[in-house]
Amino acid sequence: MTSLILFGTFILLFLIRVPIGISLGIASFVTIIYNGTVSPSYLAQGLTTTTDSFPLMAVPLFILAGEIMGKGGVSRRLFDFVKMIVGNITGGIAIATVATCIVFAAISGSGPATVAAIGGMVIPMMVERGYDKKFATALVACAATIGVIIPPSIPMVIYGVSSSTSIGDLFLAGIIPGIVIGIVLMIYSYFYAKKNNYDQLTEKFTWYKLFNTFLNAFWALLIPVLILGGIYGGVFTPTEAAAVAVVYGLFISIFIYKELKPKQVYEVFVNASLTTGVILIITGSANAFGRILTIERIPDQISTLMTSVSDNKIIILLMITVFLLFVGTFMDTLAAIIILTPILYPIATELQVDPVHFGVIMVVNLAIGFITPPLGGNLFVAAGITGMPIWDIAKKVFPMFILMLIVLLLFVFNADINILMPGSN
Amino acid sequence: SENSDSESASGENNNNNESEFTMEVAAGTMSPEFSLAKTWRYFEEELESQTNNRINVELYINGELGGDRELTEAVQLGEIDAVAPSTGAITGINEKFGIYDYPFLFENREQAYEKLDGEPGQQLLNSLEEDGMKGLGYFENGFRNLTNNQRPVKTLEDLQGLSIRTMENDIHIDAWNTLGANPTPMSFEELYTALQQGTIDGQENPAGLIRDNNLYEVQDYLTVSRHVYSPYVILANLNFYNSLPDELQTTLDEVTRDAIEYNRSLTVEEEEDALNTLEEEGMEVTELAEGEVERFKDALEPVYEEYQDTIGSDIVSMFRE
Amino acid sequence: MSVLKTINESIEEWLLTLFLSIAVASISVQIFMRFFLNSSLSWSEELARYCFIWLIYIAIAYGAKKARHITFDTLYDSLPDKGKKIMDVVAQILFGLFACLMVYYGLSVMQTILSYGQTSPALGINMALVYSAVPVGMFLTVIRLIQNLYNSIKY
Ligand code: NA
Ligand code: NA
Repeated sequence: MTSLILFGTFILLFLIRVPIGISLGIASFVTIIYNGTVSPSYLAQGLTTTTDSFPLMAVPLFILAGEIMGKGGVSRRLFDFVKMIVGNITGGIAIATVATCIVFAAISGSGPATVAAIGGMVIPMMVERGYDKKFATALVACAATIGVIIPPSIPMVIYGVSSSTSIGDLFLAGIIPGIVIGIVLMIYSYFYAKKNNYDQLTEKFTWYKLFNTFLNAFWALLIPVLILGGIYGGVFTPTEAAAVAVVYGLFISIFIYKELKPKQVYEVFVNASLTTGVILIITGSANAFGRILTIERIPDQISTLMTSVSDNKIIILLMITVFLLFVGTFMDTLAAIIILTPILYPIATELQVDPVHFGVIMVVNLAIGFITPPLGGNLFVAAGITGMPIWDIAKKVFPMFILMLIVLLLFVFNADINILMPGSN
Repeated sequence: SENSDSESASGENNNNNESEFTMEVAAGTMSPEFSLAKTWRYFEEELESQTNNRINVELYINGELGGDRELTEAVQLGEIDAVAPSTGAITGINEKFGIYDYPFLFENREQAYEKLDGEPGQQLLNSLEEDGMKGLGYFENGFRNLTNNQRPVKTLEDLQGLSIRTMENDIHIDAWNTLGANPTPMSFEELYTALQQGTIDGQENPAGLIRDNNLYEVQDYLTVSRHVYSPYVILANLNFYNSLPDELQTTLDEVTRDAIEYNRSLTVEEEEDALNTLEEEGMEVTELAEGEVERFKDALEPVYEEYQDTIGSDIVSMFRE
Repeated sequence: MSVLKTINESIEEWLLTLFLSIAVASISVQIFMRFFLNSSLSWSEELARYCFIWLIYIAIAYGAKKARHITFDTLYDSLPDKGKKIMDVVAQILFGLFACLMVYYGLSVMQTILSYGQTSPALGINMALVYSAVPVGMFLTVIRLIQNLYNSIKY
């Protein structure tokens, strides 16, 4: 009965367009009143205490860093450089878009922030060269999911915190899946462009131009080195790395590239805070919601259900994948990680799935949720940039979604082989 | 809290409905095998049977309701009825409990038990009434020990320049500073990664916690320094406690005493186990050299003095004499 | 009057910029002190965290003002204009109701903390200052929702 009230209230409110975080909050509140386990002030207290977390600060900081890089000319310089390398291939500009997303992913920890930083710049360029606007928008939305798979990654930080898994190991394990997804999307872009006779030549390639664009992008290309080098060199923690990215990004955007004016710095700070607020109200109430689930022993029931179907590792991982894809369609990525990690992690460890491997499966899964309607963070931002309805974009997303799913399954089926970690057993 | 209609309506457990009182007990994240979790289960069983189910205990001891600090507040606020946090969650509310942050306050367990169960410990518990809580006694968290990645620490000199993760706690920070280390407050969630990447050199915690969080994977040297004895303070909401009739209060007190006995025998065992595991996992285990504890204590004298006024000099002398 | 207007327009923006700047600065100083001077700060992480809590609850009000909270729009989009308007008003009222409840319970939590005088471990500030973020932010949210509601009914 209690779970019926909890989920029923949530779904009802969610459907009538009450903000998701508020829907979770009201559902938790109603449940608390109904079963009287704790007093309602516990919910108000929890809104403060669950956000009182240092690792969670990776959210505003990486979003801010992403905004700064987007507005400060960092992403454009990366794009110019990459375009010079792959521009002569068929579909060069689309391939360059994906490649830029991969490089930018090593700077940004957020999917939607990656869409914002890259999409605003490249979608108009692709349209200008005759690309279908829906395809261009869909491509950026999909490629930007790599932003949370390649380190740094906010969802990985949250998973690491919820499951006490090393964030450093998770970060390393995301590199290969992220690059594989990128390559698959580039190959798709190539064939898509070929079929539609899109242009191949962006600019004539010269070594001089390549060198020139490299010099321009040099300070930007240094960012991933700085962030990952700093984390693995023991200079700062993954959360602190986000603050370093902010300070470094501000420095090069203001003093080296001279593209960010004080007024814009103010706007960038406000924007990043706004995005943080609308994400974290969900995170905060998802915590309360998750705690009520635990009190009601729902995680135990779910895991009993899953393990009663089969005790085969791959089959259960496949069930989890399907379940996460379903959840990812309507739930925010971070909220899903917060609610579901305590439920699914024990199942995975019982099956002796490596916690790092499982974390990557969860993050890739929920990253795909960024591009599945009706609720997809990347789709929202992409739709915001181009002014197109999300269902139109979603149609062009579909083939890419299938490709990403295949990559994900590849990693699920290899649960026994640790192919995720470069340089480890 | 007293049974309300809404509570009986949840009807998870039929005999709940006959209980006059429900006591909601919570604990922060931990494994069900952890001694504190076992202790609370023992407490539940005993209290329910000895009161003939007049008190129904509901346990939320897997971190469902949050961590120590928020649970302590929740007890103050009357949202839940009891919790046993480490003292770090209490010092912000009651500065006197800072005494348990004094390094090398107790030489061994026996001495610790004597003070905790005697006048000094009880006086502190009584002072919690001003904070809306009833202090019922002390479970054991254990002696804190130092681990690091640089070198075996046997002497004061070995500590110099080591960066050590500490809790956000002035006494701990000042003490490590005074001893020549570089104390670095850091959230526990980031500790593993920070040790792994060498962002900091070491940390200090009870052996069980070091084992349960796999810190041995990222730490080479363990010093059985026993520098701080850390109790869990058993707290009940004062209104809840006072709402119980006298005979139930007496039973609750007795059951708590039994649970304390039970808990202490468990934790001694658990510490031994944990230390063995840490050694088996390849940590180099050392003790402080002969006479080093005295040197540490001498060096720390300014710190003991500095916090005397905040904690209360009467309390400090009661514990230190 | 114009002062009030400016405050009404920008209060959240100022506060957000302030809190986020302090957080970034204090974490940066923390890294600098630890890595270059081998001398860690005790208060930097706590300061950053408390600014972060305030940032979130002010940003929620700002999100309400800008109507940027994340919602499920599929059903809404399929409705005729009148249905949209009704659903809009209902959703905003429910949001506002929740915010009111959080103001009420948030204040009661804050009062208790205040009455026992709990202080923070590192900065030693009264914890009520931290806990007031929820009632203050939610109060501001209620005001913003009322303003939105007023505008959507008026126009
Ligand atoms: Na990333
Ligand atoms: Na989705």
